[in-house]
Amino acid sequence: MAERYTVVEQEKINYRGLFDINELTKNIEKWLRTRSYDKRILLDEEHVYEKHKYIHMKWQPYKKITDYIKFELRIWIYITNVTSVTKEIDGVKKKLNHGDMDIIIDAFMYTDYENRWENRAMYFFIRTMFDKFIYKMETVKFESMIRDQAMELKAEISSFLNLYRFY
Amino acid sequence: MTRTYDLDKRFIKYKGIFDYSGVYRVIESWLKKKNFEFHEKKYKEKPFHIGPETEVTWEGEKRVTGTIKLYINIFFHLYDAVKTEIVVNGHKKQVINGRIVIEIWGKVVFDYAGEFEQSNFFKQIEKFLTSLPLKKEILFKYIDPLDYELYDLEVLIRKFLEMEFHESEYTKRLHDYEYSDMSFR
Repeated sequence: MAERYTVVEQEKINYRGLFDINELTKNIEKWLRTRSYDKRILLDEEHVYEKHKYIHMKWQPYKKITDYIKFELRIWIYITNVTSVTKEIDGVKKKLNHGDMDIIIDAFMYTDYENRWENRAMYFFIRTMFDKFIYKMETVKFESMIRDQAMELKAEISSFLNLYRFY
Repeated sequence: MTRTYDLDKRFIKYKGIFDYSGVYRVIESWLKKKNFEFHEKKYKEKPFHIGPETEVTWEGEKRVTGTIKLYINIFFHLYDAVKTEIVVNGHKKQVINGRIVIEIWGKVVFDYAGEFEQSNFFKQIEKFLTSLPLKKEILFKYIDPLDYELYDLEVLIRKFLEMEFHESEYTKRLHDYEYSDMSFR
């Protein structure tokens, strides 16, 4: 089985106020695409109630760095009490949303994600030796790479949501 | 040997009022527009005390070359469904108040007719072709575009259901970004 390293765990963003869900998700998607992540949707749920909506999204974008290393982010978005609000921005009426939002970001690094080095005991031994001693610096380098990317995404979302505070 | 390349599954879950037959029509017309042959593989309806529970599986298939076929599979699961009437622009319309789960996935099949299964020699040729000369062609010409088509369909369904998140950056092709960010002057 591929080995999973948890690099970033439960980085949270809590926000209450105005936002545009479409713009937010597009912004996240654009960030993912420009960094060559493939988007994987685990769940995209929307409940419509009489006065509000509940939105729940689970994304698990991934990127294959090499034949041996794969990055995976986990973005869970929970939005409760979503209502539609019309605001006038620079003389133009715009439909926005209002609600409570929780975004949780995790980041993982997988090694040997294709299970090529586990078929035989000898392969497994070689792989472990490489991972722990010879290739260790590389593994650490990739770990810091995905950590940076996860924190960059968090900063991107936070700064994007911060813009709505001025509306 | 038939070789299958599976694409990631997409899920849409919705609870509320929606036009079920409209969802049907939208997906069907999209598949026809994209030249997919369309089959209803399964239709299952169970009576239930709140409303009928319906499960439907569709498959769209398109022959691209003599060896490659594209498949799009769609699974609907409708439950807790109660028929209600709403008035749209002065006209009464029958809609569903319930829950719907839509799963979309696709696959690219190489050698769908099993032409390379004749002998061991042909099997080795097929293995060689898919792992070396045709590997990138299959990836960039068939798998990637099909993935974008699936995003397109997903966004279309979201828009039809009037979900809040109904636009995607993944429906744009990658070169849109390259040119939009590039300054030629």
